[in-house]
Amino acid sequence: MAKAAQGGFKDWEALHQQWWSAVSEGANRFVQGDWRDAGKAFGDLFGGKLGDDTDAATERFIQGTKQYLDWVEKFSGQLANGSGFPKDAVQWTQLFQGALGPMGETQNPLRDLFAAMASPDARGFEQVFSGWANPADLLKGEVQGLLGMPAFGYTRESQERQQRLMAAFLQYQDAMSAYNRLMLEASKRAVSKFQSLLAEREEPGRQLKSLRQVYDLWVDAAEDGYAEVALSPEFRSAYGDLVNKQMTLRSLVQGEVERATGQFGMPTRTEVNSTARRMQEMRREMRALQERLEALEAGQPAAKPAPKAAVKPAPKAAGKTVGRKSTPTSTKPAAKKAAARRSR
Amino acid sequence: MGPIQLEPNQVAAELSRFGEKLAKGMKVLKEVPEVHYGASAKQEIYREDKVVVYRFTSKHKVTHKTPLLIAYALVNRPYMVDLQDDRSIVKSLLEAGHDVYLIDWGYPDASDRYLNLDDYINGYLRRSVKAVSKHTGVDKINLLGICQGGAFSLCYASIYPETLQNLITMVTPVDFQTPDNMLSHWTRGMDVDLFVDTLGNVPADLMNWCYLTLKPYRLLQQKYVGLTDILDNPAEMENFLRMEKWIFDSPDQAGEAFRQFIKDFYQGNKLMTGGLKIGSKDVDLKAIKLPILNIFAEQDHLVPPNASRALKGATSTRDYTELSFKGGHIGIYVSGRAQREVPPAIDQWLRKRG
Repeated sequence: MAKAAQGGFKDWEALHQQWWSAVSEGANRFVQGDWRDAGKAFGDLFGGKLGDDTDAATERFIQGTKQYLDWVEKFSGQLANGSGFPKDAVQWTQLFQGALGPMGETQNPLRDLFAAMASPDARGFEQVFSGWANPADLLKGEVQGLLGMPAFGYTRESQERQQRLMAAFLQYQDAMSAYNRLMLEASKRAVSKFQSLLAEREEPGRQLKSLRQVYDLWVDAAEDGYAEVALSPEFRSAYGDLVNKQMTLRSLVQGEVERATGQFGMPTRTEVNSTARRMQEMRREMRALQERLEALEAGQPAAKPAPKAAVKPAPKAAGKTVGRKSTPTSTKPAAKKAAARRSR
Repeated sequence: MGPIQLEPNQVAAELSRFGEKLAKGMKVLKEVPEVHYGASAKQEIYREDKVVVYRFTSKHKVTHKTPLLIAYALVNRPYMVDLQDDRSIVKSLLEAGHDVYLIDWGYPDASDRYLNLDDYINGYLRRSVKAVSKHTGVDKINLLGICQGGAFSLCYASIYPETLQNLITMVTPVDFQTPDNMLSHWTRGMDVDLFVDTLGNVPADLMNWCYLTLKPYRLLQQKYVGLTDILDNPAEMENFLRMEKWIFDSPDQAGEAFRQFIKDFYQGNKLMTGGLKIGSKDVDLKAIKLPILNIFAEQDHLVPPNASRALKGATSTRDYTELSFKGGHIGIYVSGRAQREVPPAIDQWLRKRG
């Protein structure tokens, strides 16, 4: 490659030293300095509707731009500090990987992307329980042994619930690890795809001539790698397991919260659900009666009332429903009695 | 020849331009006015619980005797069909002389947690059709179902065919288990009973997060990097922000309806393979003999085109038309191409069928 085409190393070094100042006019102010003002502007645009979500909406934009600029800095830094200007797709890919950082599990770029961009409501329990994670890892074997021990005495029920909760947390951690391993696999495939796409660009006339073009090609490769993994049977299983384990854990935590708040006379989710269920049944009955009345008034034959919709029994306090597969049942007398007992 | 040819001075210029765009963008962001949506005036003609049926009003004369009711999905807000003046399917249909109605399903809250598909389809949708019929004095109306609303419309058309003149489905999944359907692939490992028993209503943020992770690099990062290209253009920024608002202005999903939709449609694929029941009513696509116009998007990552194409041959209609649109799931409502192609196609198709 001609020197003119690749630039002298001193030029790249100078560029890297100056790159931040090259974008400083806007980028520095935007992503580091005054960006809270821009955040306010976002909030104002939405007429305040977003409320507390304003920061989250702004963060999406800020994070996307900042991650791109971080990558640009590292990429140009690699060019400045590299031992030689890359000549082919393999060398460029290596340089690109260097800019991404090690592809170890702790620096899985996809996971970092997810962690940076998730809205508060969409984040799993990983952040809620982040403080637990390391001690739990260290004591995992010991803890698992303890969780299998029988409970007895006055607090045996409570002990069993605590054991179930801790076991669910450990299972959730395992599911998260399995999921993260697949995310890492997706990242690795992205690198390999990137190399293939770069190789295609070695043909005369198809070269990439800007950082954005390089970045966009990387995104194409990353999406392809991710899609391959995300459509695999392993991913379906890991994804389902992660969701199910998180729901199990949530359910147990909700049960504990219900017990604690119930002791202070607070209404619980179970009670609210029970009211909502009754209200929905009354809505249906009222609509059916209204339509019969309208038909009769219009001199039309009134349709007989539809059989009552199948009603799935309300789950017991969340902590006790874990792992139980709900099955729809009709409102037979026994189910009604059970529902009445539960709603007392 | 190497695949990447970067010149330091060109890169410096590129970064400088990027920086300038960000700087100007900050000014634009502070000055862009509050975004509004909705191009066409409308009036409420029916209300039940949180559901409202609107009639769009227009200075254009209604020349089609059969009214058109639009049933949108539960997972997003229906104003996408009338987003802004130059991006409105509704506006184009009004200009073509159609009498257009729209169901707004509302934002379910905890009191709606036990709404199920029987309530939505045999209840709200049926009574919305009835309300439009009553309002216009006709026995049969045209129904346009979009995305999940299209699946609902197919169920409805199978159960109550006598109330419809024509059926239009847009980006509607019929076969929920095509190999390229990532969303379906993911839901099939879920214990949806445990999911709904735990969460109750399904939070909108969780739904949106799931959609974003279908294409995480593109939707969580590249899209916002690309935003800098238009950051100094107030008009385009306004359009972008309006879209952004629509994307994230999503209702929570009523728990029981979500449970059944995932179980019967995604996991059971019963709309396609049979055995689907909505309340006490059997759904059989073969019971549909109405004329059908099926519109789908070729680059749809939420409802892959093959998921929609499956409608061909699945019903008993002898009058089936397909329109394949070059675009994605959202572009089919709002892109310039969509404005040029979709409403005229709907208009011409309906015009031939009364």
